Amino acid sequence: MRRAWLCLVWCILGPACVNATMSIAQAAAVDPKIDERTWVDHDRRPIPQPAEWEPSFWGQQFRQGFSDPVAHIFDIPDKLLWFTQGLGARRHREAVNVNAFDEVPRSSWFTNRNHMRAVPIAQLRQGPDSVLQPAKPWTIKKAKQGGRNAGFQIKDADGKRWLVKLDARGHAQLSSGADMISRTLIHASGYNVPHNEPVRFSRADLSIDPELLSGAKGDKFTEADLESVLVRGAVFPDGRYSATASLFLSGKVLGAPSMNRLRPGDSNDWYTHRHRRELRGLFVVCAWLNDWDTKDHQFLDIFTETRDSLGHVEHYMLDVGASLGAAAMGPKDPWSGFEHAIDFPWTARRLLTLGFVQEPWRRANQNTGIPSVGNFESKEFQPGSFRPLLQQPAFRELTDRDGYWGAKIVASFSDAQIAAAVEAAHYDDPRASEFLTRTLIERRDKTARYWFARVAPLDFFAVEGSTLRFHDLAVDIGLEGARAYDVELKSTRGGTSQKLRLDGAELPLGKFDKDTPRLELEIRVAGNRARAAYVELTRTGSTWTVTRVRHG
Amino acid sequence: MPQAGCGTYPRKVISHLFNPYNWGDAIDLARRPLILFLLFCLWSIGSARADGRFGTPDWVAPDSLHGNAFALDGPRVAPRDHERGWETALRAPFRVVTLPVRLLASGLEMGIGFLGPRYLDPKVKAPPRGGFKLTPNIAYGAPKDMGIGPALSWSGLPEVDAHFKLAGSWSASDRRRASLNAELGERRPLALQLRATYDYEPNRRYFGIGNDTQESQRSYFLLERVSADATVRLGASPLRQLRLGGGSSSMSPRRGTQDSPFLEDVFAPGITPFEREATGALWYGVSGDLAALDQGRDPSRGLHARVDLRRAMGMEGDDPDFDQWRLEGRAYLPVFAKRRVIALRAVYAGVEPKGDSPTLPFYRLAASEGGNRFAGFASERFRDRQLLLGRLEYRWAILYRLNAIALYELGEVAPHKRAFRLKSAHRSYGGGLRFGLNETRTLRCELARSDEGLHAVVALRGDF
Repeated sequence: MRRAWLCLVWCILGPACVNATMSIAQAAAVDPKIDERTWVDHDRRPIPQPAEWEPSFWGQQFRQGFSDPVAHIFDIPDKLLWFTQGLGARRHREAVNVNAFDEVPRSSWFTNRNHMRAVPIAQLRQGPDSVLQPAKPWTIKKAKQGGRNAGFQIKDADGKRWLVKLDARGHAQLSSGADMISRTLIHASGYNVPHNEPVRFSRADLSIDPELLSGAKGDKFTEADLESVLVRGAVFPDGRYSATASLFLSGKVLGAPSMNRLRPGDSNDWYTHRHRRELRGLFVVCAWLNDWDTKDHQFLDIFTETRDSLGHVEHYMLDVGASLGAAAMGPKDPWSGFEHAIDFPWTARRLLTLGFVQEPWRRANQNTGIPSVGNFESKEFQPGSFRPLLQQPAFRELTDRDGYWGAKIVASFSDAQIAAAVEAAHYDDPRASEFLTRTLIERRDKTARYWFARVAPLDFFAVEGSTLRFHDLAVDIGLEGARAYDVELKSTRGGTSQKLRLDGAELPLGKFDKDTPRLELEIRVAGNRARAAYVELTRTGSTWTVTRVRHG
Repeated sequence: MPQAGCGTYPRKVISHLFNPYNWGDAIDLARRPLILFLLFCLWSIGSARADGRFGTPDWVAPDSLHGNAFALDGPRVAPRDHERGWETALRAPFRVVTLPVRLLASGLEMGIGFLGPRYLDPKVKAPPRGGFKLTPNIAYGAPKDMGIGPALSWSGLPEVDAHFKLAGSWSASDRRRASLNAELGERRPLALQLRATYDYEPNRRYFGIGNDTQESQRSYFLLERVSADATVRLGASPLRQLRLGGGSSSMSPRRGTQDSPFLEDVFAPGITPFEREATGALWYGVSGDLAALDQGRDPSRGLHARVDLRRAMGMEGDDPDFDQWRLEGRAYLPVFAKRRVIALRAVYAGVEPKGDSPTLPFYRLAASEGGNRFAGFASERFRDRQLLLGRLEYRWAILYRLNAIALYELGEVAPHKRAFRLKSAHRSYGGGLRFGLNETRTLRCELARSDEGLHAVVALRGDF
């Protein structure tokens, strides 16, 4: 009996001790400064190149599509935490790479862009690189490997390397248009994406590299192979082909990251990827754009050398063509974006109702009738119910705070910016541009309404003189009219609590006792159940400064 | 909707300096004049900024968030990420308990990761390249009869649309199978198929002949079968096809070697016709499929008829002559939507002696096995000259290509068609899952109950 008890104690305490020891050991080995108020998370410190590694594609599909969801259903500790939430237990851990102002500092994963400072239209349209189109003629250097689209790798007339992916036959501009719009908006949101452009080319623009043609270096790609690729591609009425050209990223390809673990050999990679705010918040952006294919292999790590064989890892989001109403082989399946490939809750509902339950995607009128748009809509779109193809671990960890952060990014796009992103796809069919602009605006507004109803959209706190000013984002973007705010104020001196009502987004600070060193404010929208914003103010001399912010 | 404009430089400077968000950066910037200079350059072209949606710019984002340059060295925002200690302690016992399951999942993940690129990756449909290939061969059957062995195939022999395959397998229950298959004009409207098979099955079941046999009379025997046939196929689609063929079939029953009791230990000598006698037959016949379905793989509306008629002549003096047939009709009807379907299936199979052959070998009678199996009963549970099977299924889609099914079935065997009685039919009911692999193959997992208990079936069959 005693031995059994010892075993049990060992089982419980052993891993915890190992965990703690590892933390201490790692902290001792690398001793960087921690500054929770930084706006740059310095994860580009020079390191030797990590070994190439990526999770197995099919293994990951099995894990994210089947074993993880099943494990989650039978996750007893998670259920215990759910039961004890009333006692203060937190089931979901908050994102770890968030600074004191509840924002994501700039890093090799993310750069704060549109929600911090509106990206100019020209810059938004340009995307990640200054070059606009691959210069013709093109020389085919290699056949495309992997993925469902037909395509090939080319070297353009300027010597740049691109990956060309053809749109599915009968659907010119479907995937390439969706890719262009999504990559433009995702890049402006702050994520790293490769420079993709929709292109048109004719057979005469192509030639096959002689070495590839002869198979001198192993790979062989003949004229017949090229014909078999082109025959699968979409053609414009003038006979040219419709495709996406993706500029090769500079640096050494390391492979896709795993959302469940850190990259081996990358000592800058500190935070488990599913606990990164920008990856959790990406759920909201993907929901907006219906970017339904977000498996780990849609990301790519690149080693960028800076000096003396040392460098750092940059993290990119790839291949966003499976978004809006598109899929690689044509219009997306109606259920894409509404259900996971293996969706246990919906499967159970269908099973138990003998198939008589009507899923939202069946109610939704998704068929636009526009070949270059595919299946897309906004009426049945529920921002919180978006489901990517596979359960993305980072998305599963999403909390309201992460969701609010993502919604703030989505809401930051103006109608003009959305229209510019759509225009960048150069649709031949004017119905496509009009429909996509309108639908994206409607989805953006739905996204903002949904998340701003969960977390009070009170943000950008700043002290001007002796007044604390903030923004009500819902008011700023016109979702709500002017409204009042309830403030619960706690001063650390004596721990007194005071309640105030504000008629506008400003709070005079002059009336507070000069001896009060710090103020804690809990601000909520009057008469609204959205979770409050928490602000901490610290006095230095006669000046107040905002030292901490938390949403929800 | 209020839209923000651009602030003037002095206002931005003041806002920037007084904004606490910038202080951490300011320390950084003070250390690095070059970066400060770059940021100044960016700042000076700030008039190109677009209007933001979030109100007036009294809050200004720290400049370090923008531009391309920033320091490589500097602070991190949070310490390394680890699971919360108390959570580790909470989860540890469960992790220990579920270790075998987690190891199994990891093993499956590794296995799928290894096999996926070889078998699951989408491949461009290119004309099949000729050549010889040696691959593993898995022969499906009952769990104990799952056989494995090599397969030698050669596509493009002697021409592009031809295929040759020689395969063999051996199972844990000593079932030995070998087959040779040559096909000429694989995807053409006119094709020729040559086939030869050898099947050594040491544990076939036998419960007696007739509709009222007892389950307690379960016995086993060994059956060795050798067959060779040639078929001319008209029609490329398996759903609209006529097949004309002929061949030979010889069967040899012997004492079983695996499961017991053996046939001769349960049934008295002489009761079972041709108990120890091998027979051979030469046959010719016609078979075909004719379907009008809305879709091949998971039909929701339409009719499908299948016919197989054969005439067999004994190879030697005592070998019986007989006619053999199998007629099958299927009907599909949607229930207000394609995803909910009522499917009906009726099978009438039989074998009838001809001329001077009053009795037929027990192993050539129509048996409830394979496509004729009665859902709630053991395989080969009933056998007689004629077999009738009717099934009603309600199918509903629960996942891509995956249907749940609820079934009700009536099955009966009889010595002649006038002996069939509805009240003596064997009833089964149950449910399961059906996964449509392609037009001619489905994976079915069923659990059905009858008055002989629950029976589970996992079948990879080319029908229904």
